[in-house]
Order: sequence, then structure tokens, then C-alpha cells
Amino acid sequence: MRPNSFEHACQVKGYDPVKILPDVSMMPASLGQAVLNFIMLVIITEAMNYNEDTKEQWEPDWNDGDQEKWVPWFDMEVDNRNPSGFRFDDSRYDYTVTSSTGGSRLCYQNSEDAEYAGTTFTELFRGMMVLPKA
Amino acid sequence: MQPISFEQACEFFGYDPNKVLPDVSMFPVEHQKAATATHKLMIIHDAYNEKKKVDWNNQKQRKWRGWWDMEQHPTRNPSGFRFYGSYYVYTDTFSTGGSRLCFLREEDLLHAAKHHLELFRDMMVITQ
Repeated sequence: MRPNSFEHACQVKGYDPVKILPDVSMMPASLGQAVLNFIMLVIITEAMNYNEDTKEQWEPDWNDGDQEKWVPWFDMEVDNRNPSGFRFDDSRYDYTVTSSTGGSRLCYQNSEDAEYAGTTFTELFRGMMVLPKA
Repeated sequence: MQPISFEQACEFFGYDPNKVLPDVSMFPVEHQKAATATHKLMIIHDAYNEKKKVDWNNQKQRKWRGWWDMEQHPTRNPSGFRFYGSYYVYTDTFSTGGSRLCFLREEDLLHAAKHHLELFRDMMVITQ
């Protein structure tokens, strides 16, 4: 399924969207937001990999060399196509080895889902991946 | 500087290692370690980079990242998680990790991967 928000993803998985987020007030602001974004993306990905009809939760099987694990890739370089310095670029897949920061937690069953996550939740990825300017 | 521990990285930035970690007990159990590990790794990573910012528009600055082997193998990877290798990019960078967990020196990446393997595992591997 494809949640349109973090709250929607929580609803699908039966989580309380307010209670599930930790208090990060003791953390440096930029780090706290990055951790919150990571947590929200983990929940969103979990919901996306959940089949509401069968109640089955898909998780990548890294021992299955035929199974594609899709991740969104982002363009970090400022140019005419990318004035903000952060945009979804493409979805790519791994088989048994990954360079993805999220590993099993931020990968998807197919390219369409990876693209959906990368384009719908771009700001969450940005907050997790981009260091704020000093 | 070669920070080895989370505590040393906290000291580098003036954080109290006992107060800087959030309570993640309300998070689904299978993801709690990941949330804590991600936060620790971000602080450790920043200390390795010694406050230098990753500049994606700097064509001379290498950005180092790791490849991780997630496939269990009885001899070469019995636990199902190991550091596989390093690679770098300059500006034509399409990344899944962004600035948070890429290193400005390869030796720092190798050092972090070796000494903080369990944190990387906690962040990337789902355990029930």
C-alpha cells in the first residue's frame, strides 16, 4: 500500500503517530530532526511493504540473490536542474550487497514504490540526509 | 582525530553521552536499536569529519561510503552482515545516505566500519 503521510502509515500499522515519536529535545536540533525523519521513514517504509489484504509484511531477503531490493537515490549537487541541492533522481536495486544507509529498513519491493517514497517523502529524506548550513 | 567510541565523539562536540540519546521505548521493538544506532552513528560520523561539511558542489572533495554485504555465508559472512568495501563520489553524486553518513577520508570510513560494525548492523538489519 502507499501511504500519503506519516500519519497514514501509522494508521495502517496500528501505531499512534504522536506517541510513537521520541522526545528529541535533549539532542542538537539538526540531529534530532534527522533521527525523527529516519524513524518516520522507517514506519512509512514498513507500511509500504505491508499487504493489507494478506496482512503480510515484506522484508528483504538478502540471501535471495534473485530478489531485487529497491532504494531511492537522490541528487545532492546544486545545478539548474536541482536548485535546492536535493531531489529524487532515480530508483536503483541491490541484490545481496548494499550501500544504502537504511539497509533493510528503507528498501522497497519494486522500483515504483521506491520512486513513490522518494518523490512523496522527499522532505523527510532531505531532513535525514542533508546537513543544515552552519 | 580518530574517535573510537560514541563517548569520545560526544566529548568532541561537548555533548553529554548520557543525556543526548532519546528514549525510544515507544518505538516498535524491532526498530528501537536502529533509532539509537542511527543517532550514535551520526554523532560519531560528525566527529570523524571533524566538523568539516560535506560539499556536494566541490569537485575535489571525495565522499566515502561503505558497501555492506547482507548475504549470510557460512565462511565469509556467517552473521549476515559485514563491511564489503568502500567507494567514493565527487559531485555527480546520487546517494542513498546523503551527507549524514559519508566520510571525507577513506581511513575514517574503514576505521568506523571496523569499530562500529554493530551500530551499522543495528541500523541496517531488521531483527525480531
